[in-house]
Amino acid sequence: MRRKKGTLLPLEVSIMQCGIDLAVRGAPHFHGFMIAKKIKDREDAKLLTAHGTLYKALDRMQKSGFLESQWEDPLVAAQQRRPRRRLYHVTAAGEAALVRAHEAAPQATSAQPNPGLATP
Amino acid sequence: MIKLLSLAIAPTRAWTALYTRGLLADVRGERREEIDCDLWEHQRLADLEREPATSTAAAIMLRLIMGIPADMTWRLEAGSNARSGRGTTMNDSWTMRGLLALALAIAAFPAVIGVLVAIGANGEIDGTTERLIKGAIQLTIGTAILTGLVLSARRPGLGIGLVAAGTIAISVMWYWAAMITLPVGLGLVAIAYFRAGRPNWRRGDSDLPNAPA
Repeated sequence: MRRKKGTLLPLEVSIMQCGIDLAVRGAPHFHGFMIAKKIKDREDAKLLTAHGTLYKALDRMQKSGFLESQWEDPLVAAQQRRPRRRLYHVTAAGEAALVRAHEAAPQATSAQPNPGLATP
Repeated sequence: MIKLLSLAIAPTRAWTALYTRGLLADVRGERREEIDCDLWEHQRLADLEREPATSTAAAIMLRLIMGIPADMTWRLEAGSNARSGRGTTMNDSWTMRGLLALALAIAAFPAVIGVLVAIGANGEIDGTTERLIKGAIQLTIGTAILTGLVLSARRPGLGIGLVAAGTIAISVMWYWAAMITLPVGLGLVAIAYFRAGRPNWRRGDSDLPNAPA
């Protein structure tokens, strides 16, 4: 899908909103499944976002600079006997893009971004 | 429960292994690790919420199937990025050749069944005309899929189209086996799709190390 640079697709808006919600609640870092679950709960959806759709969007958003990620310490994962998580967080550019998305289509987005997190 | 979940997890991992094959090691490893982590977290949450295994398995399968188009487009993008750095793709590998051979063998199945039906070897249909028509249709479908697989490298649109059309047709005709024909057909389309993405498909790729001059 061709789109204007710096604009967000609906799924990207959802990811960003959920990421910011989590940050406000003290969990600034999220992994793929966590955000899929959060989107499902928040939007009262029947299904979790598909693997391909979710990770492609996360990859694209990282390349656009809206998200940043880092792999967690393998020792932490090993101690908890689970696979290593890739932890994402919303960047200032991402917050700004979300604000722009709300301004462009306020009726399409149900929740407002946290103004305290938005960086011009 | 574990067996049921394995039935959903194994195809997800196999699919991830397939579509990341031939990518740069770090890109491939990261995507596989991320999917592994997702599957683990999904199972853990299902355990905590005491969700029935059937629901969890169905949810994982749906997430897999619904995400396949995005996986394929991501693969093409990631593959073209990788090609700018080196010339090897999944299509050059022995794995891809093996997959193609397997796909051709699978695609030959409806064609063989068509011949058997036409000559009355299965003994199920009495009327000669009906038998011949059914046999011819199945033979045509099998031939279309085989042709599509072979053509997909040189004529991507036609090749993928033939495989997809053949898959749909055989799924409709053998509707009672749709649980098998649809995923298998999807796999055949994926193989045709990846073959179509070989380096010498696109014009203007002549700067690649292994592209013809």
